[in-house]
Amino acid sequence: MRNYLIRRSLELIPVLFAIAFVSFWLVSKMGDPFAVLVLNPHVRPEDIQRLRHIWHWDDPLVVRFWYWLKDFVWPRQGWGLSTLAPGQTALQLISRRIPVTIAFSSTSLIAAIILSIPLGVYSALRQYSVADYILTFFAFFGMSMPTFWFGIMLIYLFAVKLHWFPAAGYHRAFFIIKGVPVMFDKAPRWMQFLDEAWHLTLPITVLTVFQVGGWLRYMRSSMLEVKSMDYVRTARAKGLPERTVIYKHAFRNAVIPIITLIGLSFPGLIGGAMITETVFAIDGIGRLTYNAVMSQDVFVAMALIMIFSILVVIGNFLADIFYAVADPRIRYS
Amino acid sequence: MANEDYVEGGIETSESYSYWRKVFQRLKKHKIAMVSLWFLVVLILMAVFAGPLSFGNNPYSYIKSVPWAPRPELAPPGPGHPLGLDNMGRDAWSRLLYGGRVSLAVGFICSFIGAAVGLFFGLISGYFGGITDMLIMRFTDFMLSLPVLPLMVVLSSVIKGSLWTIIFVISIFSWMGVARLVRGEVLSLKEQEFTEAARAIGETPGRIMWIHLLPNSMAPVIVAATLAISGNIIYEATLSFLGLGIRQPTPSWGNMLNGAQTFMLTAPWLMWWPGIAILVTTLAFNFLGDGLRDALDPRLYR
Amino acid sequence: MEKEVLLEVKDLRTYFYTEDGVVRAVDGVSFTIHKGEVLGLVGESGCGKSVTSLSIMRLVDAPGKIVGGQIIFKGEDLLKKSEEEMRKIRGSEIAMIFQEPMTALNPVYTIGDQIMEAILTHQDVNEEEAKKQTIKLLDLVGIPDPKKRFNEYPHEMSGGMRQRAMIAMAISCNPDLLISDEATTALDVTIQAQILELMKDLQRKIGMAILFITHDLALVAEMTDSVAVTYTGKIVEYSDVRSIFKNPHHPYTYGLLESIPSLLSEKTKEPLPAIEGMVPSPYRMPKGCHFNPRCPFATDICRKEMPELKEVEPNHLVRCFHPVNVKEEVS
Ligand SMILES: Nc1ncnc2c1ncn2[C@@H]1O[C@H](COP(=O)(O)OP(=O)(O)OP(=O)(O)O)[C@@H](O)[C@H]1O
Ligand code: SF4
Ligand SMILES: [Mg+2]
Repeated sequence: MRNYLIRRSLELIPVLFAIAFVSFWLVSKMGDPFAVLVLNPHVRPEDIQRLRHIWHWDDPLVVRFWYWLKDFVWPRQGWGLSTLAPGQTALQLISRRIPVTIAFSSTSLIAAIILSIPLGVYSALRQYSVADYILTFFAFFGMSMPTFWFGIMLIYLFAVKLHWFPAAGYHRAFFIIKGVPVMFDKAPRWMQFLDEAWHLTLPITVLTVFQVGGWLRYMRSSMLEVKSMDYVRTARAKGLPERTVIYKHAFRNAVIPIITLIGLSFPGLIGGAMITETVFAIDGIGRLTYNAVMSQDVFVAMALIMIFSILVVIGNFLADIFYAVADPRIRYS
Repeated sequence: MANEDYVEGGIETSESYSYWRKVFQRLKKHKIAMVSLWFLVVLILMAVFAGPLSFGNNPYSYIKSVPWAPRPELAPPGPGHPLGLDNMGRDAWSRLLYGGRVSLAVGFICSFIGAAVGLFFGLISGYFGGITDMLIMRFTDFMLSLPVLPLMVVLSSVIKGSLWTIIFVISIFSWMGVARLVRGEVLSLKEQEFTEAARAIGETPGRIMWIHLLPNSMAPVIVAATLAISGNIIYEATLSFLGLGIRQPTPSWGNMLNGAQTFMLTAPWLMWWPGIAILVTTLAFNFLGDGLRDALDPRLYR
Repeated sequence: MEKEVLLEVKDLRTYFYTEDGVVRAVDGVSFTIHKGEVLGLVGESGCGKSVTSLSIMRLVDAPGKIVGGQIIFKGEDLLKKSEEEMRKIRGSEIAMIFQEPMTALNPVYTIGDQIMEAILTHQDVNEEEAKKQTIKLLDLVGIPDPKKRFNEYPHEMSGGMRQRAMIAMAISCNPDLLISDEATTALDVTIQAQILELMKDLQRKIGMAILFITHDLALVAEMTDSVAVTYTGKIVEYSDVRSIFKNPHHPYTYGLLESIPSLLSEKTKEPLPAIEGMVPSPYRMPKGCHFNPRCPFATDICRKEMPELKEVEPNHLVRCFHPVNVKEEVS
């Protein structure tokens, strides 16, 4: 097992390297990150010259890439200056915005797993029942719904019409406590938390529904397939109670392919988070990516693409490990 | 010996004929898939005949004034304009029809390209094995570990432009699933006798792939491609919604929603129809793909 | 023959309602197994052997359904039992070894765990005791180093070892009846011989009855006391093993024996032609005797009516209008 882990992590390095290069190359096609700095009042012309030199921006692509990668791994230059947020480095900008993205996308990832697996099993066990049809329809709905439009619809219904939830942002600017306005940062932690939860309910719903559909269907068909396997019949022939047959013998086998599927859906999760943040005006790294691309903030976009790639790769890696834990056939082969 | 097996190959085709007939019969029993199929046929016809169906409007011209609203911009539905006018005073119904053209075309073409590229890589990878296989599969895995949407956004901002740009951007990321599927299929087909026999009588790899492996691995590809259409339509809509896909004045279901949030309060009807159009279309493709899968894979059909 | 009756299957019918039509996989099968006796159920592929055994266990899955008959086990009809009562019988009183050792074991649990599970379900013992018993069983079925093997997964074992583990699982609760559904077909010849030896040995030791399913008559001769030959879901010949081998009366049995000449009685110098053709499609059964398209003795009546299973000799039943009588033919 340990060897397996070490081997798998070593295999990640070239993949990450390749991803880094490709995204660097692509993003640098967006424009010259220093040209726009001229408009930044915080940066003097000499500074621009100095920065250009530090980043080796006049050198060939490979050299540029090398210095950029060095700074990404060991950020002495803070991953470069942002043009979108004058006076801030990409690192500062991103690290301030990453927590909310991680918080709400991991919440919806967990919610989606918790919902889709039991519902998929239920759907399979009650194949062709009314409940199965309802779940199937719901699943297809989730798979077919364009995330951004679903978000807009929820905003229209629950924010604009019903006023149950806020339409944008992930926390309010200030609270009124006993008639006195208190800035969000100064408010008690539990108030902050509740307020954020309230703001993030709709975005989390959007992102969860987006993921649940496919997984539910997959779990259902996996369970149906496993249910007719020989070893399930063997388990019945042993006289095991039906519950043991289903939840010990069938389920454990049915859930294994789902692990891979969940691992593979990390790019989708990131894309979903990006759209959701954009629609709900949440200042996370997803919306930041969009804004960075639209305003040609090269260094920020580069760092973000790199971070997303790392997240995807880590997701796949975790899925591989869970897979190896769940399936004894993997460890030795 | 080899000749005899070859004759068996002939029997295969007649069997595969009845196989496809059976598939079609099973599909016919799948009600939702059939409803979806008919719906899609109607939808495609509507896109094709967008002109005659537009009540004399066209998606590009600005209407100067309408009698039932003070200004043509964001005017509500009225005679001759069943869905009202958009924020620039253009007829929303005809934009929806023409937008369907674009969205469906992107969906179909990207899915076709994805399937073709995937088939190509999958066949080569599965048939030749060894280092070729390893390289192609590594590349496929690499593509699968990219953050697709952020990269699409970057890409389409780098190569701004036409319908074909967006098709290119989406297609790049839509072949990996098919490649893996086909590779798996080819690996199992390679074990079977007719492939061995074909090799024994000295057929070239190209012919074996074209004549034997390609047709026999078609079934899962058809399912995957059908399902991919809906994914691609959503990608197109998303990019266009973000202002990075199909650009004005060309309509697409996605870019019709581009400003939707800003006039959500004043003209909410404008955001209903493009969204509903995307939803029902992707829903129909998903149902059809699912029905096809059931019909092609009798194991799951019970 | 004075032994106590253990299992009596009467006119069992199990049909599959598929999208292409009804498959009468088992269509009026009757046989009796006494305590400690081995009954062979023989027939070509697709003749309903597995479905018969699954019917006895009441494990036929949709679209299959037991539509008629009785399965009287220890005097009680299994078809009238509740699912819960049936569950208590499975594994403890009737156990089954399946055709495919490769897929019959759950890949994600260890061998030991899967055997222990049966013991824990049916016996009132704690885990430690169950583990001890399991290791003893693994030893009994000839798995070397049972303590280590206990913790191994199916994929770490060879086919033969897996089938031994299946046998250990099946006999773990000392069943009165063991159903062995082509338990050795998937194995190579030497391993097959070892496993059969093991089964015979265990059968003598534990005194269980076996329903021995196979399509290999050679194995029947070695293993069984009586034989039922099936064709298209019906029994065509049923007798004790000596009588069948000495005096096969049904042309189908005759044909089957033909494929193993050494077993055929000395006297038959002129062999009949081996069975030609294939088992008919379950969706398109020939009219009359189902064997008539392949039968060298078929006459008009065979193409019109289905013969009854009749006693042609004491305790020797045959379903044929023109039973072959070996003695007469040779003399
Ligand atoms: N799930 C099913 N659906 C439809 N038909 C079935 C099903 N299971 C079995 N049958 C049919 O029942 C008949 C008997 O099958 P069975 O498996 O009992 O044969 P068998 O005698 O055990 O053959 P083998 O030697 O290949 O194991 C076959 O014609 C088969 O087509
Ligand atoms: S009944 Fe007729 S066809 Fe059937 S086995 Fe006997 S002789 Fe042959
Ligand atoms: Mg069988």
